Amino acid sequence: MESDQPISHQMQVQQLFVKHQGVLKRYILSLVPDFADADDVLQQVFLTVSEKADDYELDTNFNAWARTIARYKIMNHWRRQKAAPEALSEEVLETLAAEPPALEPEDNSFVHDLEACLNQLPPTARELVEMRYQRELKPGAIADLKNWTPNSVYVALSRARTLLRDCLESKPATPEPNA
Amino acid sequence: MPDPRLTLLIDRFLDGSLTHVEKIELETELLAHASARRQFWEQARLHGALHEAMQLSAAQPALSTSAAEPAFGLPFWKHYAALFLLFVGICYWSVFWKPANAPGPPQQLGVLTYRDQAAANTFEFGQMIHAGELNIAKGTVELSLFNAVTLTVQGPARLDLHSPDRITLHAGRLHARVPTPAKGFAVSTTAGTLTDLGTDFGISILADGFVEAAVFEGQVEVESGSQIMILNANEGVRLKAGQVPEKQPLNNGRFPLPHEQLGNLLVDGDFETGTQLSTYDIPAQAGRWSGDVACLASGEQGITPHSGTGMLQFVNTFNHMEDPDLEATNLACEQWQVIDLAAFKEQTPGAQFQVHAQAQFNRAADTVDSGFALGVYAYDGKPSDAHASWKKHSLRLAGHFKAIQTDANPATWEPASVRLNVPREADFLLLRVYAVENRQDDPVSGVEFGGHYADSIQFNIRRAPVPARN
Repeated sequence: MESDQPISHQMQVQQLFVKHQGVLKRYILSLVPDFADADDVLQQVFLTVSEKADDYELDTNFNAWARTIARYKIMNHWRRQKAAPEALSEEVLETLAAEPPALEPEDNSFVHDLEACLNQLPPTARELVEMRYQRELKPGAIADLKNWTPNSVYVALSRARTLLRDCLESKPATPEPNA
Repeated sequence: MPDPRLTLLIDRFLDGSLTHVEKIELETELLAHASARRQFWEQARLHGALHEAMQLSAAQPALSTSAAEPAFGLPFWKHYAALFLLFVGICYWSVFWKPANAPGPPQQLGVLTYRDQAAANTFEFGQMIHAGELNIAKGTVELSLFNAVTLTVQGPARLDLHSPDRITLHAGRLHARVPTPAKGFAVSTTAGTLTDLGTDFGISILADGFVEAAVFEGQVEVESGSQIMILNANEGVRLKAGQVPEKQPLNNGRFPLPHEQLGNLLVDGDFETGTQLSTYDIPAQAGRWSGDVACLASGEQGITPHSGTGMLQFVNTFNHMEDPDLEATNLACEQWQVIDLAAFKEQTPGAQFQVHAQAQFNRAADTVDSGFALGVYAYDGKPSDAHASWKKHSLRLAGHFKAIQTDANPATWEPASVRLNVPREADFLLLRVYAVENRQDDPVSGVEFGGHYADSIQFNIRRAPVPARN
């Protein structure tokens, strides 16, 4: 097969993917909120990152490069799912993707801050957040388990997230990443 | 100040619950206002981070103590910390433990190794358990004492922990798993004392002042007033202060069940001689491998099996059920196995299961393709519909995969592992093991993977503690 030279490069690129896959997954979840679908998109990104490893120059911004690949994969995902009721239009997705948030710092500080805020949630809110994000239950399933109406679950989850955002805003700002 | 209506609409998008009208409203806002788009990203960022934080938290009451690689690069540090505490505690206790009436600070008796959702707000996984009173308002917890006794306690419950070998149960239900070295472990109640003679037993304090106890394995000595009796496996007893103990049949549903390792459910994960390996896509039944073109191999190209005398060799990125025109678009050689959960669900309805899958990967020195991965996915329905379920992403209840890249040193096997909290509604699981092409450059008419192997694949399933049913 090929010479030894690309092996080392491809391996380094895949190592970078492994290192950054948490940040990439969070980006994908922003636009593909379903956890299983986001896993699929992440997997597609991994395959393309592997395939196009030679296009990536080491010591440049891996996150930005991988996020570009993720963006195309996200668009492809929604093109396939365009009949789904929750699918946003391509125009909206393109507009959002054109103004992405700043790249996440590599130290995972946002997640660590969030863990601290989770501990301050009222018990019921914490339980709902665990059901939604730990057990990966959809609001309808949570409503069944809690014997609530689905709308009550939506509202309660929304309130829990608002509390968490308020808590995160009260923490010192995280410096911009260098990458 | 975020727009509350917009906040709700974005949250509904993130929860997959937008109505058609709401979707139009949200899209209009997002296209019209940069501030709306900023708010979208702010909320969406939290959605992703919450998933990561809670999955990390879910990994804490992990499946087993076996060495495991962190999933997605996130360490299960709290799990290891708890085990470390337990180890240190055992050493400390064995040297320094004195009877409870000795002066000094409360004795450290053990570590909390499980708490369910209902108890999550009160108890932390890994927290130290001290001598003294313990109140469990709701939920179920599991305590690992330093003498290796495991107590599964269901609230509302109140206990006095006197020492690692003696407790009083005032209210609630418990299951005690007592290994032989801890023989003599005693639980007192208002109606009597049960002393272990090497066993698993349960106690339930009833509202009417009665105490029910039962032995699942071994024997227990029951002392109630002036009466002393031996209770054998599968026997129960009903006690009340001042009354003669009354033996009764064992009623499993009265007591919480402790966690249980259900073992490795995979068939032929070592790929020894005789392993069934098909090349006809995802199997329609449990108990055999099927997928893309692959074969069994013994030692070759400087690689010896990780265990035993056989291993799986990945060959091509297609199987014999696929449209040949699509073969060239494939990037991975996959093998699958279906794991049917029906028997476990029937045995303990409503139980929560956790899975820990592991695999070892290796490749020959002159190969380019370096990626391997392992995935576990949960579905409801029939295992015979596994193929259709996989193809329709929306049917997936939960799933995680772990991608790794390997070195080209035949002497080293690289591990990958995946953990999954199985949703209660899941009926079967799909295990997917695969090698990934770095470049889609190999002719599908030949061998696409020139020396890529997997071996020692395990699929361990653990049942979390189960509360009493009645």
